[in-house]
Parts: sequence; C-alpha cells; structure tokens
Amino acid sequence: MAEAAVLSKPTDIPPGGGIMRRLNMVTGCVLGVILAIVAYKLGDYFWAANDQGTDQAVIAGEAGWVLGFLIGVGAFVAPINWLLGRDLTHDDEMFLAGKNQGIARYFRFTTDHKVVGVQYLVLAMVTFGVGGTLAMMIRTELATNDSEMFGNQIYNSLVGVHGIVMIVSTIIMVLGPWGNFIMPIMIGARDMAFPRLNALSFWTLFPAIPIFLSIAVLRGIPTGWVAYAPLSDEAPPGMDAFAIAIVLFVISAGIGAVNIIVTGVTMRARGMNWHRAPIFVIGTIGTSFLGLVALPCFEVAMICTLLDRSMGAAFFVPDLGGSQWLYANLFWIMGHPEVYVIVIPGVIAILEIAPVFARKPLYSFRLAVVGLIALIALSILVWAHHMFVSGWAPTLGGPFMLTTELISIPTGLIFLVIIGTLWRGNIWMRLPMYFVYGFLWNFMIGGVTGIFLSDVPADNELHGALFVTAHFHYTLLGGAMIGAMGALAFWFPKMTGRMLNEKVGKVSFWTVMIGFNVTFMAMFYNGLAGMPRRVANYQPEYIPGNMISTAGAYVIMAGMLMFLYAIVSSWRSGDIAGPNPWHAKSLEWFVPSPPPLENFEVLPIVTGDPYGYGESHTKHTSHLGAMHRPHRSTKSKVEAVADPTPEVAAQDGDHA
Amino acid sequence: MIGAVALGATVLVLHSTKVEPPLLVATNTAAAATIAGATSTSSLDLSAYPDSTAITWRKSNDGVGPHEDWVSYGPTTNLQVPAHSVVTVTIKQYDSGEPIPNPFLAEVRGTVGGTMTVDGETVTKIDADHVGHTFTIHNFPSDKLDPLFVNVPLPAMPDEVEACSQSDCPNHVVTFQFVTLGPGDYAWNCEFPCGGNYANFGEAMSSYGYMSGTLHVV
Amino acid sequence: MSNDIEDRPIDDQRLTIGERLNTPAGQLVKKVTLVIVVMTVILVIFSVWWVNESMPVVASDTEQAVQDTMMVFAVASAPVMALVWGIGYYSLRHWRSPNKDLSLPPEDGPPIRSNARLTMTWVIVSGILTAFLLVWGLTELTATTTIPTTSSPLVVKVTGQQWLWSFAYDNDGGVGSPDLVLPIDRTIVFQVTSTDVIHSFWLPEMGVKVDANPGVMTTSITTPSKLGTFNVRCAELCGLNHSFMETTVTVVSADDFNKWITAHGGTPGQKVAGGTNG
Repeated sequence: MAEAAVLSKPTDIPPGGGIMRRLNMVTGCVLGVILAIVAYKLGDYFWAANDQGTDQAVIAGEAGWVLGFLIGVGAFVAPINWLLGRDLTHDDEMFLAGKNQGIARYFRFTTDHKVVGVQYLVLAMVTFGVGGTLAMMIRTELATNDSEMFGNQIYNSLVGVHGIVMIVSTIIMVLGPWGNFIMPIMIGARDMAFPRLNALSFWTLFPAIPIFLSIAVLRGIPTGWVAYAPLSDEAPPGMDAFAIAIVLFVISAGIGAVNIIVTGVTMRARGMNWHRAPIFVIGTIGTSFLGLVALPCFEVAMICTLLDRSMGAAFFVPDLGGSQWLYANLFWIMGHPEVYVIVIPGVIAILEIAPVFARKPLYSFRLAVVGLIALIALSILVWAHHMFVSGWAPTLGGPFMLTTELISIPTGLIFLVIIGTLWRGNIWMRLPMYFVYGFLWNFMIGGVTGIFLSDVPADNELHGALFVTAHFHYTLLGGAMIGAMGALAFWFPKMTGRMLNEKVGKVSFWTVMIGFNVTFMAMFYNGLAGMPRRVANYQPEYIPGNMISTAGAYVIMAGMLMFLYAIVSSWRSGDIAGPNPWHAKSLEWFVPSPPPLENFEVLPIVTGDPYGYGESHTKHTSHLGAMHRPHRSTKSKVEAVADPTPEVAAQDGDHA
Repeated sequence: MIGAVALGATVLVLHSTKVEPPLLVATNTAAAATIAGATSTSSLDLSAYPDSTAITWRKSNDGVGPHEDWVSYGPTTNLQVPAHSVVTVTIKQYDSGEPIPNPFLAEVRGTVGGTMTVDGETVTKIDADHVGHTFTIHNFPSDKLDPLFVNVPLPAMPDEVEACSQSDCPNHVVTFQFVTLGPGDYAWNCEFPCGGNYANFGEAMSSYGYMSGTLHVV
Repeated sequence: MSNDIEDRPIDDQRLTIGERLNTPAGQLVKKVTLVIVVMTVILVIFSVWWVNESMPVVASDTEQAVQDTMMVFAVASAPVMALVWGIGYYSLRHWRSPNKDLSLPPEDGPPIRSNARLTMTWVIVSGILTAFLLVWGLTELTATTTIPTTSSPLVVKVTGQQWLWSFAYDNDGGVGSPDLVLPIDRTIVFQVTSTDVIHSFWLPEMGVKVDANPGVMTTSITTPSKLGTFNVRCAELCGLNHSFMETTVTVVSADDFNKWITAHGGTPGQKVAGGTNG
C-alpha cells in the first residue's frame, strides 16, 4: 500500500535490476573522478606543447568526469541492454522505480517521477544556495567602493559564476521539482512518458554542478554569465569548464523538456481535454517547448566557443573572419526565451495557487492560455533588445522595440487573470497565498521597468548599468522565485506528507520581501544615476546606494535561511498532512500524501476542470468522475480504463 | 546561524586567495621639488621581464601552478608613493616586443614635460612597431580622487637579442617623472598586449600582479 | 413624469450610468476605483521624484530625450501598477475571509468565470497604451539618430581597448587625447571601435552609449548642451580592469575647443587620414 512518508525503511526490495543494484551516485562520483584524472593526465601529456594545450587538457579532464560519472551511475545500462536485445522485466522496472528502497532510491538512477522531482528540488535548493553565497560575496565586496576584498579578478569570476549558477537554478526550480512530481499526477497518469529519460535528465545535470565549482580552481572566468566573445576567447581555462557545464545542462534540459511535452500531450486521463487540463499542465508543456527551441542555441554557442579556444577555430574572432555579433545573436536568441522559461513556471504556479486560496474559479482560463501562448511565441521574437547598443543592426531597433513592447500585452492579460481571480473572492490567507501577493508586487515592478528598457533611446542610457540588473532580479527573483517558493509552500504537503511550518514560513516571506525590495530599489536608483554593472570599483557618489543594497542582501540571506530551516524541520517532523489540506480540486489532491508508487489505484476519468469553486451541479463540477469514492476494484488498471461503466463516471453525484 | 558562519568562512577563504603582491615603497630623495604644488621628491625602480623567474614573491596561489613563462613586472606591482611628490621612476625593460595595435599608446603622456629618457636620450614617443610594454596609470575621475594619467611606452629589445630575466641581461633603461596630487589608490597596468590567448590580453595581462597592479598615493 | 425603471417604455429599460453605479456591483467598482486613483497619484508623485532625483544632470539633447522618456513612461505606467496593486490591496482589506480559524477554507466565492466585456476593454486599453509607448519611442529614436542637415558635425574617433579609452580628432589635424573635449551646441558623431574585446562607450550625462566592437565601427550622435566636466565609462565587462575604464569628457565653448585643438598640435577643420589613432 502507500508509504507513510518519504523517509521509510527499505523492506522487501524487489529482485531484478541487475547491475543497477550496485550503481549509484557514489559509484558515479568515484568513476568520474578517476576518469577525469586519467583523461586530464593523458591530455596534458599529449597536448601540453600545443598552443591551446591547457584548454585541450582541461576539456578532456572535464569530459572524463562527465563520462565516468554517467557510466558509474548507470545511465548507459539501459541503451546497452537494448542493444543486446534484453528487455526490462517487471522486477527490473519495479527496482528502477525505487520500490521499497527508502532513502537510498534518491541516490540512484531511479525512474519514479516523484523521486526525480525530489532530487530536482534538492538540487535546485543546493544550486540556489551556491548562487546565493556568491551573491553575498558580491554584495560584501560592493559595500566599499574599492575592490580590496577580493580584487577585480576574483570579483569578475564571482559575478559570472553567480549568474550562471542562478540561471541554472531558476530554470530547474519549478519545472524540475513540480513539473516532474506534480504534473503527471495532475493529469491522472502513473508516471511520465519516458521514466528512464527522466532519471537521465537529472543525472546529466548533476555532474554539471561540480564543473561549475571547478571554475574556481581553473582561474575563474573574466566574463559575465553571458560569456561574450571575444573576451571568452581570452579567458583562462575556467571558461572551458563553464562551456562544458552549459552543454551538459542544455542536454539535460532538452531531455526533460521532451519528456514533459510527450507526457502532457499523450498521457492525460480520460476526459481531460485541453479545456479541463489545469493551467499548470498547459504552462509546463508550453515552457518545455520554448526551452527545447531556445536552449540549444546556447549549447551551440558554447561548443563554438570551445572550438575557438581549443582548436583554433575563429567563429567569433573578427581578425580571422569571425564575428562577435554571431555569438551575441546566438546567445540572445537563447537568452530571451530562456528568461521566459524561468518566469512562466513561476507564473503558472501562482495561477494554480490563486483560485484555491480565493475559492473562486481561475478568471478566464482561456485568456490565461492565450496569454501564455502569446508570451511564449513573442518571446522568440524579441532577442535583439539585448543588443540595442551593440551597433549590430541599428535599423532593427524599431522592429524589436515593437515586438518587445507587444509582450506587455500578454503579460497584462496574465495580471488580469490573477486579479480577476482575486476579485470578490473569499481570501484564505494561508502561506501559499502570501506568495501570490508578493508576486503581484514584485513582478509588476519588474515588468514596468522592462518597458523603460524596451525604448531604444532610454536603453542607450540604461543598458549595462545597474538598472538592468535590478530589472531582471525583480522579474526573475521577485517573480519567478517567489512563484517557486509559493509552489513549494503549496505542494509541500503533497510531496512530503507534512505541513510546512507556516509561522516560520510567513516570517521568512516578509523578511525576504523586505530585504529584496530594499536591495533592488536602491539598485534602481544607482543604475539611473549612472553606475555600471559588473564593477567592483565605483565612484564615491554610489556608496550610499550600495551600502543599502548590501544591507538588504543580508536581510534576504536571513530570510532564505529561515525558509530553509522551515523546509528541513517540517520535512523531518512537521504536522502530518492529509491528502487535501487545501481543499483544492485538481487530481493530485485526491491521492494520499505522499502518493504511493503508482499514484492512482484506478486511473481517474475527468468530467470537468479543477476550478469549479462556488459551482454546484453545473457542467464544471465533478472534476473526478471516478475518484469521488475510491474504487476498490481488483481489476487491473488497464481493465478499469477500458471499461468505463456508467456508474464510474457518474459517481460524484452519489453519496456513498 | 550556520549559514552566516558558512558565508563568513567562504568570504575569508576567498579573500585569502586574493593575490596580494608585496608593497614596494618609493624611497624619498633629498632633491628639492621644483614643480609647483609638489612638496617632496621620491623614486621607484621597476623592471619588466620576459618571464617571471626573477620574481621571488610569487608562489603557486592562482590555482594551476605558477606561471614562470608569463611576462611580469618586478620586483612587485604593488607600489606606494607619497602625495604631492615628484616621483622619478626608472624601469629596466628586458623583453622583446611587437607593433602596438593602438599607436596612441606609443606616445608619452602625463609625465613632467611630456617626455621620458630612453638609455639617456630624451623622447616624447617611441617607434610604434617595436613596443615592449607600457607603464600606464589609469585616471579614475571623481571628487575624492585627484586626476592622474600617465602613459609611458617602453621600447622593445631588438629581435636578434635573446631576451632574458636576470639582472645582467641586456635591457633598455627608461626614466620619467610624474607628479602625484592628493592621496588615493590608482590602478595601473601595461597597455601593450604581451599576454596570451585572444588579442594577447589574456594570461599574464589578465592576472593581477603580473602586468597590473595598484599605485597607492599616501 | 418619474424616471423609475418601471415607468420607462417596456423596450427601453436599460439603466443609466448613474443607476448602474448605485447597484451593489457599481458601488464596489466605485470604491475600488477610488483606491486605484489614490494609488495612481501616489505612484506618479513617487516615480517622478525618483527619476528626477536619481538621473544625472542633462548635458545633451539625447539625454534630454532619455529623461523625458523616463518621465512619460513612469507616468504612463502608474495607473497600470495602481490598478493591479489597488485590487490586490482591496482584496486583502475587504475580501479576506473573516474566519479566525484558518485551518479550514472559507466558503467558496462567486463562480465568476469570465467577463467578455472587461477582457475586451482591457485588451483594447493595453493595446492603445502600447501603441502610444511605441509611437513615442519611434519618434525619439528617429530624432536622436539623425544628423541635422544644417550642422557640420565634429567627428571623434573613439578607440576602446583593455582598459582605457583613447580619442582621435581626425578631422581636426589628427589630435589624440586620453580624455574627451567637445564644443558645446555642435553635433558630435562618435565613431567607435575596439582593438580587442567588446567594450561599450558610455557618456552617462549625455545619453550616449554604443558598443566598441573589434574589427567594426559603430556610430553614435549627440549634441552637447551644457558646459562642464562629465563622465566617460565602459558599460560592457571587458576583463580585469573594466571598472577602471573611466575618463572625463569636458564640454567647452567653440572658441576654447579650437584653442585646445591648436594647443595639442592640430588644426581645426583639417582632415587627416589615419591620425595618431591607427
């Protein structure tokens, strides 16, 4: 039956699994380190005399780490078995899904989407912690207007690594944990379309994190996270590590995106047409599509950078016939959709939370869908607004200004949906609802300041200054991350079976909000006043603003640590939660908390959408035809689905 | 609490990895200051080497080992001079060189009289096709820091000569004077691409303490 | 003849606007609108003050265009922010469930699924607002990027390299300088390039910013309108000493400018091929 909590003891581990029984994260790390050292030594031996020998050896070493890790964690076992004609037995599948393995299954190549979701959650928190620590170091350096604390060289690396680690963290922050854990349950499925690919997407991302950290011992990077050529060509070997980690990340994200799209499109429960699917499902599919289209451009740009750095290619070297604008375009064609890949999951989490805590239907579901689709489509057309001052195509300033300002319309529609949901609702002020209001405040400021930046002459003043930094922190941190924290507060009971400590959660919410607004409002001021970004030495006139920003940053840190404390302590010993503590209506709230291995005893049949608050006996109720009363049937899941007897579909009207 | 301690620890660790070359203090000379506003005179002796074997303070503190084949200023790049002083700088340039991409920097600027002496001869610029290094102090205009911009190009050793780093190796001797105003810290670096990677501004040129440093005016 | 609804002709019993506002729904709209209007006023005052306080002194026509734009956009976005925040505030003040016990949800609210007219209005208004911003932006863009036909622009070649700026007045005898000197009220054309990586030539008080790219020349135009000394900065991370890549721009009268050119060995108006900056 269901497991009482995530942290259970391993009993009756199924047979099967073969070599996968022995492989886990530790074997992966060990093999990875061994192969890394071997590859680096070999590379050094053969190539040290080359002009670009150091880069070649470093790339070999990092590639050795990745390959060794993936072999050691068992990622190649499935393809090799397939090549050898060996299919998975049921026991194999059960073992791979982590049945009865307790906490050990989180450290293995486990295919259960719930396990992968938790793995992603922990990874997102770890990367956010790393990025946050780097941010604190940056702000500490900026408290004084000289660069005495770390020096310019280390400071530039801090800025670049903070950027990329945070970007990776925020991209996976909602899609990773809840796109994997919640979305399949929300659509009434037992797992995702490609469970082994699910595990692969996580374990492909995992080795990228030590690679990011290795930048510190490879003399750092002199660029920001955008890694502009040709400065990236001039950089120490840390740049190679950066590029390889990005390649890994994009592969991981692509695998995950394909999985989400196929799952969402093909595995929705009977009766869940697109009008009845929760907005979260539609949003994750759309975001995955956007990421799949856009992120590979970053991968290509990084591969070309690696070729420039290690093989003497000249993609981005002007003297040899290349162009730095090629890099800039490739990068920003990824870079703009990528920020929407970060923002939209946070937005759809908020859209999912608001109806539950206003006890009203989502205002105009169709409008929300149209808004999301328009946002996704337009975001592919605006990239050159990051290049207004580059001089690349002055005549395209007007058209890109047009597309960028057009994006404000679907964004406005999303705001309309949220405030329409709040209108005349009965607001239930539990912790997740706090984050909805936080989102409204922060993302509004972020969005409006984006309008300022979209105007080309104004951008001439504001580009490359702290105004831009404050703008994107408001949208990404204040918008998407607040949405992610709200998602955590909302789905924590479902994932862990326990309630998140609300008192600590609310205090940490206020701490983070106040610290955040203090930090970045002061940054807007300094940016308008003319302080450039990515500098450690600045004119004395910017000292007061920087001191305020640094003070605010410490407050954010305190708030985040409090939130972490709430998560950890609640996970271990919080109040036990029932299946539906929020009295919500989407499918995931009708399975136990945490859900059993196969989610549903009987796959549900859906007859309405999950926003039927305040409605009774209308066409929108009875979201769960088959789930109103647990159907204790001995039929297998296949039979139950293939035999939709009338009483199954009409059960909600009965009172059992 | 643990988080704050962890952060503090990380900051300290990182701070300690910061490259801090030893301080070279200009020696005060007894000569009378002849420039208006200057109250003292002082002198500094530096060298520009084709590799850093002659640099004694450098340990393996930037991750992948010391870089003995990188060019370097010596004995250090952390300099201190008195305020309101006429500073006489003597640089021994041991390295070979190449054409400079920006010939503007082959001209002497910011020195007393706009000139410098190269092996005894007074010049206002050098051949832009044979530049070894430059000594350039960055102006950072603000109300707290007085203006100071100095650019002194250092001629290269001829290509036929084998460049080496010991004190008995052949070198050009360049002497110039500049006047410091109020106290403050200025960044200085070589502005000739003598490093590695793209545009030869990587490696030695992008690592603090080889071809870049700080001028403390106290 | 009374104007009660029952006394109106049977086929014309629509409510007037005033009557609409007296219904419960209309009362609600009135109260919320009041909140929004108050918030708009506060936001307009705040943002105008904020932009004025923070932005640098205006030293050119392009900077004036920038600051005008910031003002207009700040005022234009205030009602939008007030609308969203006003309703958010109102919801917390008046629609919060009165239950003290938060462990159970309150009663469900009214099942408002959509309001076609509201949505249509919103789309149209946001479309108009966007169109206004766009037209404003395009007008400013054209104004700040066209050289007036009547002027004889001063061409300054700007070279960025790691990590300093150097300037050449090739049309005035090839004078080279580490900092910029410009005559007031004359159109300046900056031709910007780099010898190594990407930098960004930025004059904060003059609203000029254009990247310095290796191997390419980019252009920016301005007309200084104020005497004094201002800043030149690099706005694109370019390596180790990016934060030191600053110098000054001094705006002087036309006569003083000519004197400065002559004092540095040039001749005003004399074109030189190449000049001191290669």
